[in-house]
Amino acid sequence: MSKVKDSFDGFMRADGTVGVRNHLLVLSITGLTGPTARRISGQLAGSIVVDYVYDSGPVGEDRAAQERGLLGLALNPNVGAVLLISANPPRAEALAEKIAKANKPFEVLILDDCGHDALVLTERGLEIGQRLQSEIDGLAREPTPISELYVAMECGRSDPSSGLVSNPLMGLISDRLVDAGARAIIGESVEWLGAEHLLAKRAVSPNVKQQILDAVSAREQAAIDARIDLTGNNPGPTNIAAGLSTIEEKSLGNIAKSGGRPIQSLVRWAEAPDGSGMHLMDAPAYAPESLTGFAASGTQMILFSTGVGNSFVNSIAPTIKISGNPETCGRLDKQLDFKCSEVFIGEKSLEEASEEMFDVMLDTASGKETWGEIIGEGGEAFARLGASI
Amino acid sequence: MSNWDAIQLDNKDQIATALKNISSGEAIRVKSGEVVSVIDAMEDIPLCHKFAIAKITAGEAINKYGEPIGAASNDIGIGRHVHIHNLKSLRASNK
Repeated sequence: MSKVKDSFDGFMRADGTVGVRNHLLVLSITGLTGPTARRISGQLAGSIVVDYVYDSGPVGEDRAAQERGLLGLALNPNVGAVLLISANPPRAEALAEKIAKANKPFEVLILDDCGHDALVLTERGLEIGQRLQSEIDGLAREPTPISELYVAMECGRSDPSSGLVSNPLMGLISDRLVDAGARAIIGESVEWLGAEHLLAKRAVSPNVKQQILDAVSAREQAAIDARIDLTGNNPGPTNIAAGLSTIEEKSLGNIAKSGGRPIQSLVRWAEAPDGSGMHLMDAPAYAPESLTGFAASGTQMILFSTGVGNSFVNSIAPTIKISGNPETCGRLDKQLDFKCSEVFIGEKSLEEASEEMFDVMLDTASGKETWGEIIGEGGEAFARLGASI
Repeated sequence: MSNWDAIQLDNKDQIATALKNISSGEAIRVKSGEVVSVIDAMEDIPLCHKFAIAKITAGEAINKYGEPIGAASNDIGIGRHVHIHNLKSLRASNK
């Protein structure tokens, strides 16, 4: 009988949050400086790079999301230090002021201060980057209660096994996190369509209930306005080939990830939810955008269920891949971090599998690398709210 | 391998989900709660796909998890594959 774990080993941050990783983040916030940022990060083992490409293009709601997202990624507890690189001095200054409040080591490097020379920027970036890296190296992990965790639940390339096994399994993990005083969240709001009444029933207040219903109506209206048939878009061609027929069917399987506890709040893409419990993020369903929204909201880890297989992971929040489809578990044996096809064929209970899954999650929190981290499959994608649904 | 080939998730559902690839003509053992009954497959049903375990009339709402997942676009006989060719979403309709 294995001992039930009730803590993980994490990195204490000056702002009171706890990281499960200790990365130097090379954060480029303008398209011009992206290649340099990638070059610098490539030379600094252990660093991760985020290459935001739009700069001054986005306006209105997109501009707000951009600023929220960039700050959120810099402040993610898994980030130990930040090297901010920009070709837009005022933007860099505004962001730097906000990062400074978290008291984490960071430096700003401006292309304009390097004579507009990408090679000079590279040289200075390497020098500063290696100094920041050595500053955070050697920080020890400390035992941390589960209540410090904030975990996002995602699904991608779903099939009916997701709704049958892996999503309900994540639902049990969600409930266990919530009961331990931690935070959990699901997003992909177009995939609440047809199941929104079940989420709305769990809202802690009439206000949150209305926000949930309004978020779903807005996504549905966006699809109608774009004159697209959701069948073929979401569920997409891969979902359909695997057996999902309608958005309602997909949604009913999707929301199982959220478990059964009350819904505390609904936040925007990349917005951090307040307080423990289960939360919702009204955000695009496409996995790369969705995961970046979670990471920017502060999640330390992501549980990611898949039907037929989905290799994409977030670069800042370790992403644990789960499948209950027996064919997928056979085909992607080594690429899935947790396989639960025994539940699918009725040879193991959901509860038993969720105990094992919880341990895998805590081991990951304490430093065990996921398949996606080992292979370097991570990336970030910023949501363009004006057009994405 | 278990003692059933497919599962009905809620007693309001007119469909079951295949837990393996099922061939046309095969006797499918369908688990509904604690009861296992047998239905003849009228066509191939791939792993994870749905098939009718009750007669479904065109226009009728089809349930899974005990909740509507769309409506039948034509009559569907027992043992028939239920998918996008005979089940349509009722949401975000442009019609």
